[in-house]
Amino acid sequence: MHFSHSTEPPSKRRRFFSGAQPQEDDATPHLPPTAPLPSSSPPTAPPCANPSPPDTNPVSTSFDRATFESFVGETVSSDTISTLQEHCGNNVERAINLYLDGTWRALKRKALPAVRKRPSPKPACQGPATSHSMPESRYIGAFGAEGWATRSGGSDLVKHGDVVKIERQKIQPPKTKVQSRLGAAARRNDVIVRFTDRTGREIGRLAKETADWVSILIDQKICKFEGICVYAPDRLRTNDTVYLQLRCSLLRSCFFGRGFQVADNRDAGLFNQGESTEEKDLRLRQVALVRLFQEINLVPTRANSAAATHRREELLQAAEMENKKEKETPVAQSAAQGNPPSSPISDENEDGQELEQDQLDALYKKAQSFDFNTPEADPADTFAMTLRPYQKQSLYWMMAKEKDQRDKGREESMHPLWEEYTWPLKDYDDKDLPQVPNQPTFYINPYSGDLSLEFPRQEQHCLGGILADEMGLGKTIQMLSLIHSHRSDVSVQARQSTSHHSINQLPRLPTLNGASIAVNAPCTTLVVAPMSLLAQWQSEAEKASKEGTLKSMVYYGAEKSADLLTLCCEANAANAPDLIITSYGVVLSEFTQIAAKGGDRASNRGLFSLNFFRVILDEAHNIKNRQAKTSRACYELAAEHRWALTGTPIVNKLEDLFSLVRFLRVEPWNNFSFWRTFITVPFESKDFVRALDVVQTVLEPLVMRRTKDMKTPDGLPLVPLPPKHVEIVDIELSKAERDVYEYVFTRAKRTFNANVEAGTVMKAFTSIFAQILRLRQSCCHPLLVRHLSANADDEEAAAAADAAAGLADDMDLQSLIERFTATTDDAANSNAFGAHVLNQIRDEASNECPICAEEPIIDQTVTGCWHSACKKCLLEYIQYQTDKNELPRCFQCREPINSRDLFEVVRHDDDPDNGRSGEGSRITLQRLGVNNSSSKIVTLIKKLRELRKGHPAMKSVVFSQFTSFLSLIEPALAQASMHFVRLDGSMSQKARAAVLEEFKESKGFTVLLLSLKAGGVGLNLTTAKRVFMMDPWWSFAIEAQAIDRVHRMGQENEVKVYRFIAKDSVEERMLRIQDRKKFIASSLGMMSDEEKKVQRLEDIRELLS
Amino acid sequence: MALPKRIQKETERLMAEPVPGISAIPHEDNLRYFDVEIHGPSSSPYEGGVFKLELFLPDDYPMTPPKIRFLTKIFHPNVDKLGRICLDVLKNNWSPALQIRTILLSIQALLGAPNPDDPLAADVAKSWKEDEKAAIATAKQWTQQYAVPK
Repeated sequence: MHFSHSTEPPSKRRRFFSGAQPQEDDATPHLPPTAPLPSSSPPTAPPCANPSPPDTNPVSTSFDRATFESFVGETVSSDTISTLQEHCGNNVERAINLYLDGTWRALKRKALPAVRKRPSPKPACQGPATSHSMPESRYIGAFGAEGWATRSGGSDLVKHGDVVKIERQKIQPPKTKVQSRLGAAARRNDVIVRFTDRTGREIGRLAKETADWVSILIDQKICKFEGICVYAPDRLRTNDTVYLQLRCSLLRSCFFGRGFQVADNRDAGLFNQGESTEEKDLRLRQVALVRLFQEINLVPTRANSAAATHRREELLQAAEMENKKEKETPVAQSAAQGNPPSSPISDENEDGQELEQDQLDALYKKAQSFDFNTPEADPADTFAMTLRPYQKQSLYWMMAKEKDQRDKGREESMHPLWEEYTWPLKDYDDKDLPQVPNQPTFYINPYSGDLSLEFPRQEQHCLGGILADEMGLGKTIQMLSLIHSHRSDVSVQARQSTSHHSINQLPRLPTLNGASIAVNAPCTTLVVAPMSLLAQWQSEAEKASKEGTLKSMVYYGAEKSADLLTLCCEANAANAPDLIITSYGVVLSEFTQIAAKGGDRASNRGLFSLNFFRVILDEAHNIKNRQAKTSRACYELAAEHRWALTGTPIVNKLEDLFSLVRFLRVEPWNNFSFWRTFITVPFESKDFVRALDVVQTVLEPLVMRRTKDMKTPDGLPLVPLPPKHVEIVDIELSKAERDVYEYVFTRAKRTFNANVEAGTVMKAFTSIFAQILRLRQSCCHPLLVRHLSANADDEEAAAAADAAAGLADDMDLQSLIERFTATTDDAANSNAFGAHVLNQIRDEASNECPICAEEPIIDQTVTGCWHSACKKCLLEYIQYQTDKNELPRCFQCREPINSRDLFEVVRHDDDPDNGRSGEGSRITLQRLGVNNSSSKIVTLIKKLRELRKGHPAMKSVVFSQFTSFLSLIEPALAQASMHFVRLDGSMSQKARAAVLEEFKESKGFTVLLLSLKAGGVGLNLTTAKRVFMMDPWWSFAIEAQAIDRVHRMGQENEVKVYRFIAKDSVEERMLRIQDRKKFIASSLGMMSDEEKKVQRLEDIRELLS
Repeated sequence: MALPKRIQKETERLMAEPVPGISAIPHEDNLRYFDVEIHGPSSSPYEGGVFKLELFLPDDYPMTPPKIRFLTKIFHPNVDKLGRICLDVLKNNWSPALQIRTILLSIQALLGAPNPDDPLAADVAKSWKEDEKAAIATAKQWTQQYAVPK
């Protein structure tokens, strides 16, 4: 809500200057670099020679009670006034808002904790150090502008060379509250800037385009402008164009006038409007400044890369976009602002749109530029485990963060959001300007519109950070090594002197009169973890520590009765626990208790009564919602060092990160309005680059993140992988397959040769390649090429004939027996006979093969007369007889046998669902040669069966580049009652995610059918331990990539890979080509398309040789 | 060429569990070549005789039957002068499910039950048919003369 008042100058002035009040600036001990000035200012600064009217003077802008009361129309108690004053600084406008919407009552109750947040005593007011050397204003540049006359007159009115004054139009503030809402918009549109002659007579106004931003700079007391008429018509008429040169000087006050309401988080919590008036002014100012610098063509002499990457225009665009958006929806905006902010949770879904996956990836990529040259630190000798090199590096980093050591090699760097400018040496007439000693430069923050004369150092005050290593890299161990390796001085002393008590060690219980201040617990690290991980933390802590070097306790449930205050206080340093492990739930419940007692931290002598040496939030994404009570509770935990552990610092919104930053108390980003202005707003206005760049600058010093995929400079993975074993499985094509293969092969070769002779190979390239493809498919399954191959048609016809004859492809024993005994009507007999045959066949399997004497029979196959032998022997024998033109007869009973009437015995003893029931495992008979027309599928099923027998919970991935082949594998898997899922390129992202989830969560034997193209990249399939590559690809690199989906970080077991290669076929020749790695070169783009074609032709020649 | 597993197994078994009245010992230099001895069945004209045979397993055994022949002279309608044997399982009725052991048992059985209706040695068969007693006597005499170890 906007309030203006007739008796006061525009309120926004005060808003800006009120921030400079010392108590605001000193509210936080660590000053952000964005407001660097007051911290270094000596107290001897002379009074400012500020020409501006007294009400803009920071010191004189006091909270005017009379004005306030006149606005709210009633007398207000001093109590209330002081509460309001405390929360609004001297911003009367805001105070009025607060008062009228009733929020002040809530403020009043929360007043106590608010005070508690600022425990440090406030140093005396200090004036800016550099002010004595900075003149009241300093020239920075000139630019041309157009204006239009508002009166007519002769050349006496204005002519070339005349100096004109540049003034703001007086604002006519609206009178009433109702009007003020509309007035806010109206006033924003009021940008009239007049130019007048020496006497103050208005000559004209600046063109709107210029006035738009000049007015803001004047209103916000950033610049003053002087005009010189460059050209005016001899006889000036109203509406004539007048050309002016505007000379701009920065006002001294702009460098000091404004301070952030640093870390005024309570504000952020309470006022979650879309954008506060402050933020809006800030944005306008930012836009205006950027425009100004553009006009006077002043470029930064130094800027950080992050800031330099996006051009000014983008910055403008973003800010103006917001402006436009606001104008378009003034009603919604004012409605949102008019909302009483008493229910901050309600707008939770309003802020933070979700990040797209690729944006998240980009962000993570930026955040995880881990420098492998980081020095390593060895953990203290009380630490009982061995750290990997990367863990030692993070230990070094964490210790440096806690001790606030800067990297020696890194020179003091400028704050990433700032730019450095040099004061111009010459003026518009090319005359030398008076220079100020030791002040050749000034600094501007184009993101905020802040200006500074001091070098904005990149401060790093947060004595902690975010350890965001991916799951499995040992975050817990790293933190434990830190706990061992960096102890407080008190703790070290206490350890050394446990035997002989020094004076300091005399137990002195802390006094609790100042209940709002937490008592130091200098020896203790507090770990907050999800309840389920408490025990794990404790056992890890024990494992990681040499005996007796680390006292840990779980603070949960019954143990909660402990008096932490006494236990951990400094006086008890020698006996204090080094590690307290508690849950988020405990933190929340204690927080709630304390809040109910008006913020008396010591009231329950628990977690909040102490200022820990270190607090660690495990699985810190638990507090991603900044509005959740648990998050708020965690923010209030007091500790010297603050760490957040999470593998996913950003779950799906940039705001997730804010909550961590807030917990870590990183200035100034822990101020939500600041965050919102520089990250959320640009992000929502689609300026992703800028938002993400800013996020990166926030994250870079704060986050350590390594992923499992990272490699050390030597190319080794961070964590060594278990071994991988690749085996080539030779597939013998069946006769039927071989026939199809030969047919396709001959055709392809004929086509190729014909084209070679005709010299049209290049033209026919595609069709030749298509034939090669057919050839490769025929190695997998004849059906894949059926519409090309007459043979396959024959085969299909044969299958159809069989089906018509009642010979189903496969049958179980019962149906076979029924067929066999159909002629007898004796049902009981047939049943008994069936059972007998069943038992006999099952038992025979353990016998030796009557033909080759193998024991047990390999691929037991029975004849139509129920006699078993190895499949191979039986087929060989039938073949032998056929070759001798004899009628094949059974080797046992000499009954004539038919090669179509052979049945392979499928035992389901590997099938967990069907095994162990009854006296033996179930068997079924499967007709030979019809369904198993693909040797690859037969081999695959055989391998999987063996696997299931040995490892009933094993998961496997089956890759093929032909999705149609996957479709043929599916029924075979179903028949073997193997659980399988499938993922290919035709599926939606959502469906894929569901499949992967199912595969991951499945507990039993599971097969994932995966198309090579869809599954080659990105997927993490480490739950699988076996890989079947059904067909080779031109380049092994592609296959290797697919294999690496399984064999990657997180894989804990040996991985076995089976590559199915049809013997004596094009596939074998492809392997040879792979070995020569020709296709790798071409796939790396090292050859032109034409070269690639030539290369491929040669390969084709080899393939068809 | 490595010896197929089947032949190894058959050999081992013939040595380990010999059939009463039959022995088959492979040559050391050719494991497919066996020296076979069959004792004449009791209450047959060949009782008391020990007949030597040679047995050879061809390359495509067990698709084809073993080649086997009497070395000892024998007066039998189904064995010719050269010692060749007329037995269906050694010819059309061969099946790979049959083994050395079963073949030798069949030969032993053949000694106990000569079948002059399906002769190989036509003259022997003729004498057998015409005067069975005389034929049996001749068989006994031949056995004594050629097959009884001295």
